[in-house]
Amino acid sequence: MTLAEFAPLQRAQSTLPFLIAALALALAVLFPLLPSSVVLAGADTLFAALVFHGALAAGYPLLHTLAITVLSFVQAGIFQSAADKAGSIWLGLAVYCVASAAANFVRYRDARRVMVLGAALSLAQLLDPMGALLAVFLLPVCVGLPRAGEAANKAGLLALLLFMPVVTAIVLAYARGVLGFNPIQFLGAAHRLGEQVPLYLLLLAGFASAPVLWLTMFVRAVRRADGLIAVYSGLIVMVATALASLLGADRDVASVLIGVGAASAAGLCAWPRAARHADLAVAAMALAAVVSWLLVNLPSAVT
Amino acid sequence: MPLGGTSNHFRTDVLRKIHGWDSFNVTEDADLGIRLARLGHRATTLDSTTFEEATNRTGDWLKQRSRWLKGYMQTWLVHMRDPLALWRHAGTRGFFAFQLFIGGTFVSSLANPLMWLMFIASHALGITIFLGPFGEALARASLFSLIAGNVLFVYLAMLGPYRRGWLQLAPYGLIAPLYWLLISVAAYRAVWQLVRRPFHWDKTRHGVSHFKATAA
Repeated sequence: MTLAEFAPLQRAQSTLPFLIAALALALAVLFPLLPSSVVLAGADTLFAALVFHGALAAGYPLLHTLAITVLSFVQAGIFQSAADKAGSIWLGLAVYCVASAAANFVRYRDARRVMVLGAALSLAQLLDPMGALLAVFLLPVCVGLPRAGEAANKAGLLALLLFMPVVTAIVLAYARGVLGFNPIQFLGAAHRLGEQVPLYLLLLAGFASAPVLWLTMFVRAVRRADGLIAVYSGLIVMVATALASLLGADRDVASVLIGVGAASAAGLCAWPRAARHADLAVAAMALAAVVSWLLVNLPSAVT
Repeated sequence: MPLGGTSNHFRTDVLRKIHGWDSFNVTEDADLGIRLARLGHRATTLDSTTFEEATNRTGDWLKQRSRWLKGYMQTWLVHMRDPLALWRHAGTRGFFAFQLFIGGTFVSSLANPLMWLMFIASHALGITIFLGPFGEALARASLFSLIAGNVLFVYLAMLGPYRRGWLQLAPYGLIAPLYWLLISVAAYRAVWQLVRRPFHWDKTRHGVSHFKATAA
């Protein structure tokens, strides 16, 4: 069944962005007042709704969209973080929002996408410290991928894209330094899955859990510049986690699995002619989910 | 709709019927837009571009903005002689739109430096501005308003050129707070002129720009 054949779903698709925005706003305003379990359930719903909407908008048939949403959610890193056992769904949300917004910006290059990307990079900083790294390392890539025939003024574009993330960083620094308010701490971010693992296992987990990203990068039929943004996002999370782990920070395999999982969902939503590759997308996501559950037990198997 | 002066098109029969424009108002176009709305006429926007020569010297810019703001003050004073009549003619939405677009334009320009001074007094000199049980909350709300308002204004100033494809102009949006300061100077100059020379028309010098208009 395609979206065009199912009228109620077409109507639902047009109202879904408003519902997602309302849920995000409610979470943003009410999270200090709500019990942590409710906030977590809200974040889980938000993640699933975003992936569902992204996959529908990409053109996947309804059943494939549902499958992609469920498989994105049951990947080990995201599922465990959703159940609050390890990791943080906030990192998944941050990576998905940034990767999707950046991919859409690279594809469409209009004022609305500039605002959405700026907002996503700002939001990502509120959700997880990795958001600032995404802003620093992803934006030059976005700016460096102009559309065909576009003579972009890269300094002007970079200034425009950096504006919102930089303002957010300054406000966050002020909130932490002067007001003593740290939203990231408040969200209870924890990224340690278990015991520390050697660096090579961390990197192995990142590369092995990313079949979707491999396809996005190397298979010509689904490769496009905006899809590569998701690959970069996953890579940034992986390298940053590795560095943080080396420096003894509280990051582990969970961060890699969550980051790569969320980037994979964003990558699938950026595949061109998605309806033609729907089966391949579902198969790749299923493989990613299976591999992630094998990898999640890697630390205890090794140690 | 407070009309702007660069490109307006009227039905002459309507214009004659309402006895033309107020030649004593230095923004007669804005006043005309309000009068048309009060008399039940409608103004709409054509999706097109009008190129005009922008002022490129601070002195010229100040004179032009002073004139515009003085005109808005005149328009507000004229139509607010009988607020109930304005409300009846323009409707609730139109009445509040008038307050925001005409009144808000010059009131915000006049209030802005005072707000900045209060902010400096409060944060740099440690002077308590807001007293009472809600003092702290008011101070926080004011700080948020100051930051969010200016950030939004700067961002919009950067985003405008992007929509036009003039990205090289986007970084200039960062100096929008300086624009705010200058427009406040123009607003106080306008108040002074409204009292001393209410109908004086500060002419804008034209033909000084080196640039020629090009299609976007």
